[in-house]
Amino acid sequence: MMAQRKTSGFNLLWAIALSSIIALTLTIMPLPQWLFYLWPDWMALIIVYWSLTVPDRVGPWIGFFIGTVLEVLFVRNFGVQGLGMAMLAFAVNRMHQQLQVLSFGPQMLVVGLLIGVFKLVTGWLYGLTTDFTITTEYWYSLLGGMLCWPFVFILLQELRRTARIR
Amino acid sequence: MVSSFQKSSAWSQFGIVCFVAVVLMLVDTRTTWLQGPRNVMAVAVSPIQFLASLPTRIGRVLTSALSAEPDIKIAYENLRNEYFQLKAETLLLRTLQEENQDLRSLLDASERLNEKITLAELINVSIDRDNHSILIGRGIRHGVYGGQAVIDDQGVIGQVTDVMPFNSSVLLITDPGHALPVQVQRTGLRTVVYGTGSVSLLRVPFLNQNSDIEAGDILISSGLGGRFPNGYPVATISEVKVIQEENFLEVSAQPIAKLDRSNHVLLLSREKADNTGLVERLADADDSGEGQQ
Repeated sequence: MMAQRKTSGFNLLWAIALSSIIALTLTIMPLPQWLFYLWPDWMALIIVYWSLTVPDRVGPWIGFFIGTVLEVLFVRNFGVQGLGMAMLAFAVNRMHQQLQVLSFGPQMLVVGLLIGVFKLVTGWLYGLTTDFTITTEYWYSLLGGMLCWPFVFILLQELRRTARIR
Repeated sequence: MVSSFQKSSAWSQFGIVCFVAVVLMLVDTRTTWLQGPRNVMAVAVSPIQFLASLPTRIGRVLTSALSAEPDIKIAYENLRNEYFQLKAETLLLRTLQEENQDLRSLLDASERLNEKITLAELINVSIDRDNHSILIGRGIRHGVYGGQAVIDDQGVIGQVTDVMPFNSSVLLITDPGHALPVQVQRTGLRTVVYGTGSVSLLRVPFLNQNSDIEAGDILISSGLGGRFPNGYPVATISEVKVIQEENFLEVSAQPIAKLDRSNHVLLLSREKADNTGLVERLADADDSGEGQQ
């Protein structure tokens, strides 16, 4: 069991890259008005998944990197998403044992809570660095994210199984 | 399982990441040093932008492939009529332009700068309450520069804020942080119009109670401030409210440009892209004006 624990990092890298590209594409896709605020923070979901299932290799640094890519895509201040994602990955790393044994319902709530904290922190930081204020609509994506979490989880589980990442 | 050493190293790793992020944040808000690295990364992630725009592109191709022939014929007829109409108007415009030039030279006023127009495609729209901006498919490679004015076929849309190699982001006039010097077309009254965060509402805050302004007036860009060339329509006044206790009128306006509906925008560039040319000309004009006095 322990011998199998570290599978090739190459597979993991590809799996993360693939899921990130899909998530980034979903994030910047043009959307109809009604879906706009409900649209989940796909990248945050992906980060939660990988730092939950491969906690010894996906942590703050990968979160930071992905956040920075997101900032390039959105043309926003550097560092804010990076810090938020790093915190998210770190928090999930810390509690991965507790989270892994939860069933979908409670897991959904905890993931929603974590992403909520992530959004709060990035919202504050944007408030500090630019003239941004958190509005009610800002939180709608949490609901979308929580509802999408089980599907993201199942799909990525499938991807992880095919890539034989343990 | 996790030894105390690993635990502490995880914390210190996290600490390092946080430190790096905070430094990055400070550097990016205080300086422009990170513009270069950002541009390089923007090129690297441009395939993702292309991927994201695929559904809309495919949709556009499909609608054009599937639309019935009669519809296309009607659309063609309409465009043809519009074309001839515009062409006729342009003929008139040319003589007016020459006349205007002559009059200006008689008055010793500075010549009006000619603007070059470039078409740009919309890539991404991000409109939420606090940030109204769009991403367009033209960048450094196409000669876009920061502060460039962006219009559509109806009126002013906004100005370029960030320029990347292949695309650039445009701040809309309705962004809560945007202000634009304008002029009331009917009276020539100069003022400033502010964005509110709503796509269909602008604010004109500092007008005296006795200002000559009424609903339906058209605001055009005044050219003051040097960013926007003058004479382009910006907004129509939708409401003028007089509040007795206040010093100023409460005036709201509606943008003329189709801010959230157009697929293409036009970039206006001055004939001389650098600002020095403009400054020189203005200085010359000032000198000659003083010489006259």
